[in-house]
Amino acid sequence: MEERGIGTSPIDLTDISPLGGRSGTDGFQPKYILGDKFIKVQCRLNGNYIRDPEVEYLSSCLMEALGIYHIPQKICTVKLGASILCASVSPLKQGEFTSFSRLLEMFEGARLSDVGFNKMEAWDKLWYLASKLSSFTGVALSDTLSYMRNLALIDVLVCNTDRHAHNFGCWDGSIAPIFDCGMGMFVQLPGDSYESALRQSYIEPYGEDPFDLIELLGLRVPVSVDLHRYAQLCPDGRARRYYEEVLRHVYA
Amino acid sequence: MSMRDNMWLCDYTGTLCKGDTPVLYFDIQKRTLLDYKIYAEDLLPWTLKRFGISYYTINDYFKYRVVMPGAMWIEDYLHSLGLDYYDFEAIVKQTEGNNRIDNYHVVV
Repeated sequence: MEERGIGTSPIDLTDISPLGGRSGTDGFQPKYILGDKFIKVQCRLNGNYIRDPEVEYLSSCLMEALGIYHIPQKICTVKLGASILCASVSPLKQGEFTSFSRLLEMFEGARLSDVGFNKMEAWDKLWYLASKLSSFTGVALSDTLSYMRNLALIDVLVCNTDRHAHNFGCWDGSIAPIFDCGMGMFVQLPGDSYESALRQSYIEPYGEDPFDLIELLGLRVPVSVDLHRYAQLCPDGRARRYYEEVLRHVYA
Repeated sequence: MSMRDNMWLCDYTGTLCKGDTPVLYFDIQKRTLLDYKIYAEDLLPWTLKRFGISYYTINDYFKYRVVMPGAMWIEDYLHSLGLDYYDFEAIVKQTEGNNRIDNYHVVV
């Protein structure tokens, strides 16, 4: 397994001016550009900082093992004034990410809720998203289908509940590398038991329970790829329990 | 309504450049694209190439290049830009539409 972090001392972002450092990208969390590094500070929800960088790193390792096109992530600490925070760090990838929701709005003046998406079955949803993405970009349907399946697979593996239509799309008109997988493994529900957290976790944009989605979409991992070794990267006991359970399903 | 629904450029004239290379001149007055000129079609950002040039597409292009309303630490960000409230046009102008990820920025 690769080294999970970079360096031992925090990267000091204190003196980076907003105009020169904070990146204007879609999304909630502050992102900074420092040389060739893209740094995303851990998320603060309801007054608490959560452990999303650890899930980003776990997801990155899983996608590496599965041969899924992604933006590799590591973990670092950053210093902002008196605060030391955790962050995920990736190589800066130049270019323009265009989300699916933006594509749909620009091409058809619509939102997913306008097209009856929520009433579709899981497989119809995947087919709809892949075929639209293909028609919007000119990328082959087989590639957009594979992209959507890969997204669903990594999201169920880490129970990422944040794959809304702003979090997938294209990159300069081509298939986008997968990123933004950190809102998984129940990190957004730090005080909940495993059962309670799982009950509240749905995989978007399908709105399905992760174990149901595995069956509905036939998501499987080849037995030749050993994902058990990454259990040690799970942020807590609930995550390890989920991870062991989800592996039983995807290897079945 | 999403947080990005009320983000409109009213008056903004400039040249979108990639590095030092001028790519697109635009003149927006009162939310209308009065004039534009493409200097380097091959360097147009993919979305402008794909969606075409209009007030709406130029506005949309900048909409996704600024920190969004409601983002984490937005108050600190606005404060450091000298803004008391979220003002999309003021942020675009101050940041020159530069998201720091690519080399596109506006020269006025």
